[in-house]
Amino acid sequence: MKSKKPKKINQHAKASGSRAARKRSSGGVPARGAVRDGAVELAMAVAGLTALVRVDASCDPFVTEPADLFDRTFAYVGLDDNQMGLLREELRAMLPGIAAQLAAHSQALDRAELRIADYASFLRAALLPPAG
Amino acid sequence: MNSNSRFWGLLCLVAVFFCGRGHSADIPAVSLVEAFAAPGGEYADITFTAAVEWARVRGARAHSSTETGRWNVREVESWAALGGRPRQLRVMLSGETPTAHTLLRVCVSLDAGAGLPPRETCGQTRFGRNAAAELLRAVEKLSRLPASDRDKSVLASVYLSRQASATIGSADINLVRGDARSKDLNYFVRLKRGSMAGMDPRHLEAGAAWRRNVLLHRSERTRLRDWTRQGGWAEAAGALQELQQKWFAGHTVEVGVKLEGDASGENRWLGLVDAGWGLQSTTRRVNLPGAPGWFRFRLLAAGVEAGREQARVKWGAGAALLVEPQEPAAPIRRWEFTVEAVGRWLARPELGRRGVRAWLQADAKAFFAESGNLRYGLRLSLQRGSLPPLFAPVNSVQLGFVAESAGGVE
Repeated sequence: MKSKKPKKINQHAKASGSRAARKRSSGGVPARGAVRDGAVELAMAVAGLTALVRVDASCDPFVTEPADLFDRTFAYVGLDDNQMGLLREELRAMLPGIAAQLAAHSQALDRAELRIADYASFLRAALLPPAG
Repeated sequence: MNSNSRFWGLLCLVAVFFCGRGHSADIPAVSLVEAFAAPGGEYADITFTAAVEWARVRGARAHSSTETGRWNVREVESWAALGGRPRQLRVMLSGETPTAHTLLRVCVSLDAGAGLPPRETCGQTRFGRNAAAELLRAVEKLSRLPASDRDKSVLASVYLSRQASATIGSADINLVRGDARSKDLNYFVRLKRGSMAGMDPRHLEAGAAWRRNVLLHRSERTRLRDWTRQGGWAEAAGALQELQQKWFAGHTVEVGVKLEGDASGENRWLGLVDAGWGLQSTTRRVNLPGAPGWFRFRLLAAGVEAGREQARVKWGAGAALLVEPQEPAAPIRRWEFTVEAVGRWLARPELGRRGVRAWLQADAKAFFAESGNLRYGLRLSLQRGSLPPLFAPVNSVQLGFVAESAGGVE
């Protein structure tokens, strides 16, 4: 990529490319389609175990109830350690490509006191393609 | 005249200054930037200190650099809000970051209020290209819980009181720890002890158990997975709704060995094989007037405990109910009720006893204060029945203070 010096003009118009691109961005970009990070699968798996969580994945981005679901812990939405094992089984089926990683780190994952965002970070890292 | 002009001019400047400040909106700062290279492209996930309304985002820009600090512009393709994460934004980058570039800086422009120019908030990170290292970092983050939580579950309570020159105490400890190398294998120690007859179950058990979880409702779950993969979100929502109507989420099988003993020193120790099969419920809503909550339960449908001279069949159930009054001025902020019951049929006599031996423990907790990540309250505990290996009869009621992790927003 050709290196350029940062310019003093309004970087935002330049960085977002054309006006058409910006319009698309401001309307909401289907980031879900572009990046698969396991977040919607995690939200769905949690919702399948507790009625305290609702997920509407027909919107983009998907909408959850509570709205800050990922800032909460699994215990906050009514799950206990026993149900965390079932959650991992559900994710193993939803994301078969990372079944080995889910099994290998089961002791770290099967705890209801975990923050849902930290669990999502694990899924995102596990779904990254191997280097090279 | 000149002094009046200066006075009014200064007053106008002060008014403009405070008007501008009064209309400016708080700009949340960037607390974390994480950058990744995925099949869909390179992107950075930006976490803010507070929720960011999508409508306030005016743009984003990025720069990447080598370790020596030579910054180059990275073209931002788009940006997007993330579901369930109002404090996060995802910025998609165009093209590939040069291999020599290890630093990424991202700035997001946010609407600062009526009549004010957008204000930027920026963050910087090291660009991670090593998926294995990212996974290790994520696992380390999961392990960063306080020690008591890292031990999987610790329930320890000790009651002590002084009554009529006698000290009355009891201990109820349930410690479970996972095996670091073997998935599904747990080690446990359970102690129930009291200092007086009638409140001393004289129960201690320690051992290891292998546990397997199996999900129920395969057809609904298969439909949910298939529609999620295909992007059929309306159909996936229907499958999800069906699952949430079910009472049971899965069943568990547990097989292990344990040592049972008398904690008060009668020197009776038994080695047993312990196996059981149970059902785990989903968590269901409870809609009491003015006090929503939830409940869940599990059943020990069938179990056996067998030793050299012991043969027992056991069954049991446990349930938890939580209610949180919505009234802000309510003195009790949260109620928790738990009950555990187990029955054992002694197929062979033990210490002259035969037949069914039952155990019931019910706890009621009322939390009246929260501070930081802890909540404080009172706990009332009822214990009735008997436990192996001595099956000493217990009938006690205990009251004490309790402090627990709040389990809410970090």
